[in-house]
Amino acid sequence: MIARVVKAGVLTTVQDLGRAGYRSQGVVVGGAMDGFAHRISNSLVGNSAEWATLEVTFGGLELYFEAESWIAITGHGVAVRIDGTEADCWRPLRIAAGSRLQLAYTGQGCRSYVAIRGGWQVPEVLGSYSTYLPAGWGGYEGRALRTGDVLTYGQNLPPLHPSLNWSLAPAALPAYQTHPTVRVIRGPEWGFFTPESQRAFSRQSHEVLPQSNRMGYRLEARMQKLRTTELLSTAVTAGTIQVLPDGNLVVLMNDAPTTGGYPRIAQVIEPDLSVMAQLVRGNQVQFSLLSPEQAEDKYVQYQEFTRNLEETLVQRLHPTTNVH
Amino acid sequence: MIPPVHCYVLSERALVIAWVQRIDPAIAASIRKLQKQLTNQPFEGMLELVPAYASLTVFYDPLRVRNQYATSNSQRWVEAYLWQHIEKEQDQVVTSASRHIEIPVQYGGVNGPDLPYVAQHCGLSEAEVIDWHSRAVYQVYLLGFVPGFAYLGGLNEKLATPRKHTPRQGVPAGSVGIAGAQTGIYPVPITGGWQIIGRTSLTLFDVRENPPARLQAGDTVTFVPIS
Repeated sequence: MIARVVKAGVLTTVQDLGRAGYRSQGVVVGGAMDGFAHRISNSLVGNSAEWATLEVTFGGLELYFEAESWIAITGHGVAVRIDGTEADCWRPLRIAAGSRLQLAYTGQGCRSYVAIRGGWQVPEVLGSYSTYLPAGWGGYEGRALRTGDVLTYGQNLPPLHPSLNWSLAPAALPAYQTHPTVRVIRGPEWGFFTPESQRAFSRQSHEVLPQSNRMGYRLEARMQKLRTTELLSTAVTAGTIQVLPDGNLVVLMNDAPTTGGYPRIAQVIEPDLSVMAQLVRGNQVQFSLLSPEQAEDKYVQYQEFTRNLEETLVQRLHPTTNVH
Repeated sequence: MIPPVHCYVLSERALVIAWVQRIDPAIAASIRKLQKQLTNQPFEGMLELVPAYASLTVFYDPLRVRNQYATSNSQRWVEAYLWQHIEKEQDQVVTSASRHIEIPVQYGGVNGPDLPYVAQHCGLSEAEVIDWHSRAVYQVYLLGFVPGFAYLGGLNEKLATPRKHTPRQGVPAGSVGIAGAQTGIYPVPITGGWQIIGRTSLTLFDVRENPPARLQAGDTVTFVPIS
């Protein structure tokens, strides 16, 4: 045992980069909602991006560490305390044996990630550690964490240098906001909607409705269709914005089904899904339109930025390679 | 071979090849052929193919495509590659062996609590519903909604019944349902609004199997009543 769950919080699940290669089997991709925060929490403790982290929704997690460990907490919306003393997010943190880690929700944002050096150990299901709650698979026994659960790490890595005391610069973080502008491209069924609705889609703010979860975010809107054509189910993916029969929007997220039949008015670009993932009911989203070419360039820049950052962080963990 | 009519962008890393939007076994066969051909000759960076009723979605990694093929826009490159294959496909006769799967079903009773409602709605006896349902040969068009859930085409229109107003909590795995003009089987226990007329004891989704879903797009299916 490395850590015991003293309080599980509202919803804490094991997540990773998601299940690749099973969409044609109807298997949801899943994985960390804020993929950037997941990846960076891992690199802050020298892990691979693929290793499991804990996704903590609305804080409330409390862990008791039996053994000395290195952890990193990223994402948005929690205040961290170790044995009652405040600690920063977005940096490697040493936890002494016998310490208590507490994540308190701050009221802004939604999801934070706890990585441990060596990665959290859970069995792989269809090539992934991510928990898929509706079917009860993956992660920790296919369910959210509960009080008394015992966690351990997957790989035994040497401890980091105890003098590590830097944090990631705020400029490197996603632009987490309660009223963000999220970039989209037009969806295949953009033309199904009236010009007024198209204008309202990209010029008005849309409020996040309470029925929002890992499957998708419901947003307030009054989209009017020009035609009532029924669609045949086709593949959808995280970021696909569908229009529901009541005119509201749903932005599909990681646990969304692999196929859907509602009209797709737009698609959130992948770099902005991390921002989307941190929204809570009552927040307002504004959409700005990009061309598909611009979207691809943004995606490539984002991936290159994230990879460079991961490499830089991992190098900085080892003082011998950090010559001044 | 029915050719697709257009190709559109789903996301920065997914393109959709779309056919005329109708449920048609000939279109489904054309999708299967293209899927097979692309699986045999993937481009560098191709990740997943997702067949649906009248489309094939291609997921890819733009970085790998850009690097491998020295292009500044992977989307245009992938689209050109796909059309090139589609044209080649026109002239080729690819025979794809289709599998037929029989699914034993216990209709009615605790296994099919909505059979009486379906019979009443369709103006048939329960035995007639079972007879029409098990007489047809169904085709698997796609898997979606939940893991391993097969969308089956070929339900006799006599049996079309609307979904339940309030979805039922905890529909057991193996439940065979009707929703509108569709029929299908719940592979995992989940909340669902389909009218449940029976249940199979076959396991339709097993994470230890490869592929995990027993039914695959392109398969044909018949239901065999058992008592």
